[in-house]
Amino acid sequence: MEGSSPNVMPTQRNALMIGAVAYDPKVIPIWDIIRDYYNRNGFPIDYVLFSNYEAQVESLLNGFIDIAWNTNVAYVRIQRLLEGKAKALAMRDTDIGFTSKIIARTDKGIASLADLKGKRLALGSADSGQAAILPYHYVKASGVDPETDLTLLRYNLDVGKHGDTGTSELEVVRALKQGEADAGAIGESTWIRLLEQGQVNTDEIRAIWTSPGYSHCNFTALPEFDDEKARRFADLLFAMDPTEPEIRKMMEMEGLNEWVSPEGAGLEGYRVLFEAMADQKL
Amino acid sequence: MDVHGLTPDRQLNLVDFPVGADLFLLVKNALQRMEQGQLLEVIGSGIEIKDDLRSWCRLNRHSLVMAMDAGDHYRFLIRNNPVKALEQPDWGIKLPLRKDGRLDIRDWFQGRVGELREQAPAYVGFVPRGAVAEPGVPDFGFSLNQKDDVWSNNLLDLYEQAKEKQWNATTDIAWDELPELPEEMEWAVCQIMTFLAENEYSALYIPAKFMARINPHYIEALMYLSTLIQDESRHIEAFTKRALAGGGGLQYSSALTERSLHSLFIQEDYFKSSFLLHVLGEGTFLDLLTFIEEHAPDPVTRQIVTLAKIDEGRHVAYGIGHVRHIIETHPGMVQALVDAANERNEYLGAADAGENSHLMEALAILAGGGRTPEQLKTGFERVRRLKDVMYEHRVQRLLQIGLTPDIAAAISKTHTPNFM
Ligand SMILES: [Fe+2]
Ligand SMILES: [Fe+2]
Repeated sequence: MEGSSPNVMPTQRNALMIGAVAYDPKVIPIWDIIRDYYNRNGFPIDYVLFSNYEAQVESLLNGFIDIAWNTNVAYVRIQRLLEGKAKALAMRDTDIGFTSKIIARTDKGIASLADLKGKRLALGSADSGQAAILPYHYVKASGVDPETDLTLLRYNLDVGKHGDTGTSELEVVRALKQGEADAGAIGESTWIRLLEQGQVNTDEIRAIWTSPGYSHCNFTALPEFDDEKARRFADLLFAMDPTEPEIRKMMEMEGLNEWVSPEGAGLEGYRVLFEAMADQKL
Repeated sequence: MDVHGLTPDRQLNLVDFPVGADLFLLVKNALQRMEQGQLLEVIGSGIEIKDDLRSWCRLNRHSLVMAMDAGDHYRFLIRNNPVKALEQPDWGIKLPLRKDGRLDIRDWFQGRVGELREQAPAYVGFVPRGAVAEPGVPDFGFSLNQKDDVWSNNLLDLYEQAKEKQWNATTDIAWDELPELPEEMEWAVCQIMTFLAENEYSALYIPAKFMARINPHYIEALMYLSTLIQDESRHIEAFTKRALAGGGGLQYSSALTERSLHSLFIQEDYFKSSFLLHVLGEGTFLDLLTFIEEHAPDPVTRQIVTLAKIDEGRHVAYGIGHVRHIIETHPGMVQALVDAANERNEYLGAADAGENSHLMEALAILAGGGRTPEQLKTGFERVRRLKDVMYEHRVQRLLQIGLTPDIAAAISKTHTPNFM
């Protein structure tokens, strides 16, 4: 076609493009609400959904999207490629101080990490920070070698979604219930939700260990992303009113009480994952 | 008790509760009842709930400040830290009783329940006025959101009256006293009952269609209107039964009546609808009922009409109270009433609607006492006088709601020949 350039993006590029991974159908209403909120506030954004974090990371790096809503694992990968210069713009309050738990059948005499020796330990998806990478790391750091001191059972489900779907954590719980495994790893949000829903009987399965807090997701932008835009993007997140019904709905679906700045504790909380992924050659 | 300088504001004894749904539910509720920053002390049996409680707190933005071994139990201190604390409900306001132990709705406007606003709060949903709503109530899309839209100063009096004056069309009418009337008279009654019932359908449907649009903040308006539509359904029942009870039956419906009622039914503005239906329509209907009562050929017909009239009086009183209040506070709204009457006349004038010929004949028979030429002449004369009375009374009601004599006369003159 005359006059058309292959380099022109088909999208309206005055809108900031945000990437997110479609780990659940509810991702669409979540992002519709966020997009409408930004548009209402005179800061147009749009969003693109990816089927996996690897594709999203690549799209951030090649400029197809401006900001990525990343898991901690995706964030660490980006930082390693950019020498730690990528910008973390905002997080959920619940992303800071996130923990993993080791849960165990109460009939197996497991009361501490040391008791895992000789037992069958179930891990969730290999690319899940909370259900595999960090639990592995903490167990190893405690002096129990997951490769030699115990039998590792891996439940790899929805690989590429970095544990967002939680299905591998549910598999871990199922494995414990059915006696396939003696102990397992689970992220605290899934664990607490199962407890709240009465889906776990703590006479049978109990959390025996809770990890130190670490950081979970964040909005990541490239080092050269405009500071003023970054500030406005984050300020609008911080200004969301959780008593407004649509916002409240989005926050419940996305699992937060408010958006917060990653400065300080938030950024600090990724350090352990850098170590874990380096150690596990991920 | 004071531990390390921290004084709990409330205590929750959950000894022997395992970590799980019940424990989290009770902790959540206890925190919701507290102010921002207050401390809740949870007493639990063992230390094993500590980590899970801490995780739950973190995910819900609260903080587990301390866990203490107290010998045979543990004490956990949680600081309440919601993004926004809930308002707190009332407690301790007792409603006064009236004579004979009556608890009157007019006396329930106390505390939070009594905070009746001019503009209903957004996102109220079906949260009873006075209750405390969690944030996140969806928008139900109510469109009548202002007190002026629906309220009337006599609303509560009318509601209390309406409940007292309910009657039962099955048992309160002396059906066994229905005499056998001459056939032409029975026919006239049946034709009139057909017409009355038909009009009652509209009186039921029209307020009912607006009810779901009224913001529940004004629940008393819905409560009153629900008595009103119950009245109308009873009228439909009684008039229909009267037509059937004497072996006659329902007779003719005219296109004029249906068009007239349709023009009421399609009015989507509650203020205009209230004016057309309650003030003009039911007002005129009252005069018609008085006329039938006066000339009723049998005690059953008379009793039904007398009882229906009492009910209609309340409906007209609501309409007058509602419309008058709006005209008082927004004099510019008079034009909306003139427009409403004109729009309706244009609709009715657009086609040759014919007339209520069967009804007119029936009214003449009723008022003249029979079908002889002499009786019919007398009857028609009385029907003509009825129309004059209707005109006069309409003007009076229009003056009552605050219209000028000119406007009152103009609106009254062009009122539908269907009466309602
Ligand atoms: Fe009626
Ligand atoms: Fe009525």
